[in-house]
Amino acid sequence: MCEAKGRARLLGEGQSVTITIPSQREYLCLLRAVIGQLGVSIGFDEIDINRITLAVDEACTNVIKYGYEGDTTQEIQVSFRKIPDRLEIRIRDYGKKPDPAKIKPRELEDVRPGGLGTHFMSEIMDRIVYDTSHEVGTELIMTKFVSDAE
Amino acid sequence: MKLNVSVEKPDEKTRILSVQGEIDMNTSPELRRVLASEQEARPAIVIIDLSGVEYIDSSGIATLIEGLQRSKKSQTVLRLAGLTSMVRDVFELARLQDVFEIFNSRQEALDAT
Repeated sequence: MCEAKGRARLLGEGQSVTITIPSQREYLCLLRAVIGQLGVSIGFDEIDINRITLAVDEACTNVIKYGYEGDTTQEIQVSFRKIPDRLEIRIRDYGKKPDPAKIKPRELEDVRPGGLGTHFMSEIMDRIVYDTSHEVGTELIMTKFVSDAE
Repeated sequence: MKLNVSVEKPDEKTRILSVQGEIDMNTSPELRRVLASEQEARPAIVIIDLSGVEYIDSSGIATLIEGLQRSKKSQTVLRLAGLTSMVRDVFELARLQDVFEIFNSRQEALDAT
């Protein structure tokens, strides 16, 4: 893995990076490593990097479990784009479309396993949009503002 | 990334699970398997030492909640120890920091008995 800290930026203004992973849970750790490097380069602090990593991880987990319903032969495209005051992350799949109206974080008072992924995503990211207008699949667009970034 | 879960048995009533690595959708089934297996014998106290855990996602949190529910059902105690900053932050995001018994170290968790 390349080391971004103290070197040239990996993601300059307007640039984007797209990572395509198979719809297999084993690849999520690879994606996490990429986000860690990009986050450092953009200027997020450690807490934000960990949180953004968690949000992307949960989104991809949902794609694998619900979008592709466990089909490991598909792919997930994850794009990162730095815009002046924000990081925009697009997660594109070609699986079953969710009903955005039914995607709600669960009540946290109800302590039980499951249902926390959506809560993490909405708690961490500043904006979440499910674009289901594509003929096939879904594009999840998550935005995190980087007011403290350089 | 692999997950390593080792079990120590300092005495008859106590089990300590030391977890190292990343707990995610891929590795949480292993933690679930070991934890459920140890809880089956109904030791009075199970301590999960998370000081070697660099990452946890919702599936890992769900695994720990399942363990807590099992401990309550069997009237035993489940304690968490040594949460790293990342893991502690996820517990706070999930508002679970007051739901679990959380200690700074496994020794503190042991001493609380």
